[in-house]
Amino acid sequence: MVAESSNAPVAAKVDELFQRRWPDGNPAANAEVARYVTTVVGHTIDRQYVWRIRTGRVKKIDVPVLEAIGEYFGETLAYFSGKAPADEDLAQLLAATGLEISGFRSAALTAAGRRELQRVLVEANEIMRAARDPRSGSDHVG
Amino acid sequence: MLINDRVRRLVPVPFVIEAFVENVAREIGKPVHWVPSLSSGTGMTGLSVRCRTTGAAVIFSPAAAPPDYAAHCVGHESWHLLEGHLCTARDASSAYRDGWPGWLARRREHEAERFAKRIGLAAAPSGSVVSDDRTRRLASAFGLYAG
Repeated sequence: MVAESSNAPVAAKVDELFQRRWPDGNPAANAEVARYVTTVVGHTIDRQYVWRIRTGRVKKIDVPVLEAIGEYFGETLAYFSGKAPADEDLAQLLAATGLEISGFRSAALTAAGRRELQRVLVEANEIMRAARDPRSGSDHVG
Repeated sequence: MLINDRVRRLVPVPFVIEAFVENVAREIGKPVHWVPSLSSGTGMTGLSVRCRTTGAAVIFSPAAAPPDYAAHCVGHESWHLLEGHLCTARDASSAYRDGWPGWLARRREHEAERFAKRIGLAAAPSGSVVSDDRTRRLASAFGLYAG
């Protein structure tokens, strides 16, 4: 199974993860991620290969490799395709509803987990609104 | 010991999840709602959410969980509320975090698990953990889920 062959957007997404994690750069970043990916996929992924993915030089990226890279940074495959709410979307929802997460019991979030988190945040907002005013007048966003 | 003291104060006899949640609400001085609506297959087994302005909270647990497992999940999330923990979606989105944030998150999870296990042990002598189904019926009345 491989990701789509035109990998410029995927490469940019991968590189963005590195920039976000190490905004000042880190000479050991590719090696660090390569070690993690190697552990997850069960065969050797070297730092040069990670660098080639980041720079769009890999035509076809194995999905397990891409998934492991995402997992390292706390993202799922959906991050690369934009199908599930990203951290920023969830943060915006929290801000809009005036809610904050106190605890979270989960494995690393899959795309389905992110959608579920989004759903229950909306549900929590509804419950808060109903509890504050049964006639549904409140400052919570619906 | 903090955990033991809290277990003694919060575990009702007999153990009914709704009564436990009411005790947690009394302990933190804010309303706490329990909603067993988490879908299976999503990897999520518990979530506690708090309103920033009122402090009211909602604890989510799996929709299809048997009462003893639901009690464990509710106990775990209760600890986060009792301790006033705060995390972001990003904090929660990866089990592989290094450095201080990762250590802190793992420590909090460990404590919450210890508390949940103590809840289970304390509840066991009083018989099976039960739910009086008030929460499910109330939430159904609001049309939040069909169960």
